[in-house]
Amino acid sequence: MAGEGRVLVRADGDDDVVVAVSSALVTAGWIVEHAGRSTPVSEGPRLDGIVFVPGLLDTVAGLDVDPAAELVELVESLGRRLRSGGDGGARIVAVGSRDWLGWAGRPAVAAQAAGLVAAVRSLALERGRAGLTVNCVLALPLDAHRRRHRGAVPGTHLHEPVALTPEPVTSADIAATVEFFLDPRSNYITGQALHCCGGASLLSSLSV
Amino acid sequence: MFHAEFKGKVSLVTGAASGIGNAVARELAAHGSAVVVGDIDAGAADRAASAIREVGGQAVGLRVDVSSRGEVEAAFARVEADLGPVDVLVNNAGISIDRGVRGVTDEEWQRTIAVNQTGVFLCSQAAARSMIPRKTGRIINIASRAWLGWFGQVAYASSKGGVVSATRSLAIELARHGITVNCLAPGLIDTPLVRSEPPEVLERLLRAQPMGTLGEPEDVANAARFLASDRARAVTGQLLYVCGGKSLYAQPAMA
Ligand SMILES: NC(=O)c1ccc[n+]([C@@H]2O[C@H](COP(=O)([O-])OP(=O)(O)OC[C@H]3O[C@@H](n4cnc5c(N)ncnc54)[C@H](O)[C@@H]3O)[C@@H](O)[C@H]2O)c1
Repeated sequence: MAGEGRVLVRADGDDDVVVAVSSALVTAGWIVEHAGRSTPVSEGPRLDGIVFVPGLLDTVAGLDVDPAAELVELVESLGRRLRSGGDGGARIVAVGSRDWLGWAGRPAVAAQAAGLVAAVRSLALERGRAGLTVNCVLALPLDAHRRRHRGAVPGTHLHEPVALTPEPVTSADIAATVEFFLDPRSNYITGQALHCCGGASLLSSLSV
Repeated sequence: MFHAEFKGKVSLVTGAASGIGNAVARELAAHGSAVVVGDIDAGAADRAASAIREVGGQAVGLRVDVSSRGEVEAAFARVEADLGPVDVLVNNAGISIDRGVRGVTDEEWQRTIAVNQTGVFLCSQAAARSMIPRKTGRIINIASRAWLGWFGQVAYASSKGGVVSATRSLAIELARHGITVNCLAPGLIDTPLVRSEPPEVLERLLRAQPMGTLGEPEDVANAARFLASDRARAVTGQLLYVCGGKSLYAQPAMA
């Protein structure tokens, strides 16, 4: 809960989510270090956590760089800075998209989002003994309601999925879920893909 | 800083006299909730509740067999009269049976389904009836990684598969009323149940698991507290494994 540690937020998009995550973490007492794709990160103080926000919620065409490969590289390059298992280990959280379940009109985003989930699960398997937990929060585009009101996805009769819960999903909701996985007390949870989308994942067979 | 997170809330945790349910009850009480320690073992429920009161929490013990409609309805009526309507329901009561398919008796099958699956339905129905008009509520079901299947687990795994499925249907139906319904799937958690395995079996189970360690009841409790909080209002219908990665990989041929 209370973050007494240091976390690196590596972000290449989804600015609203990044702002919400950073402010939630600072409020909870974490020291937050920001980095982008070109920031050198391999040297620096010991890290208790990494948050990776590749920008999958904002994009319609897909990202220029494969987020799964980037996550693997990031974990590799930060290896020496991550707190070791004997010392409590470190928490890694990626923010992905509900699109990984498949979505009309955004097949490239879906593929990248699914790749990210597979990378998270693989890293969790590979780094479990080293005390790393690796999880992802899968959200909806923050403007999902607006997209839905624009009508069906061209060439289909299908409308943008939105939350089933009364309120739209906000960046603060996403940040709270990220913070949960960063909590040192979440150190037995790994390889999980938790949807923070007000139930918009539920009609997919892949979501369980 | 979250110590007042559940101030003014009423939480009912079933099977809370022991193990995981007990840790969940302590966790919610430590964060300000009034907690009902529901259990089929009345004496153990009272002892668990008084242990919570001793450290400054608010708790009462209540005997309830979750497989009985009469007892469940009476329990909810009693809680509502004494403390107010239930804000957070944690369906944790469960029994496990470890027996190959050839040996499972009708009684074992039926009791496992009655407690683990019907119990979740009866308590959730009673909770939903009082949560819907108030447009808020949290239901958290304790399933098991075993729902994915395992040796000697046909009855237990089937009952927990029912819990996973019920979670999703309830989440879909109750979302528009502001009620979230989620499921936690513990892996190997250090409770008397798991410690009763022979050491070599435990050793083998740990070797087939990515983190290679047992979890603590408190690990599950912390996740339950998140799902019970306002912070998780956009999380519903989810199955979250608290299993050290066991749900990602296990090698059945080793068992
Ligand atoms: N311990 C683990 O590793 C593990 C793993 C996966 C899932 N689980 C699940 O977590 C839950 C708790 O398990 P635990 O290990 O803490 O078990 P436990 O045996 O320590 O506690 C279970 C409690 O439920 C009560 N109970 C049993 N039948 C009941 C009924 N009909 N009505 C009301 N209460 C009843 C018991 O009296 C006991 O206090 C169960 O649903 C179990 O299936 C446990």
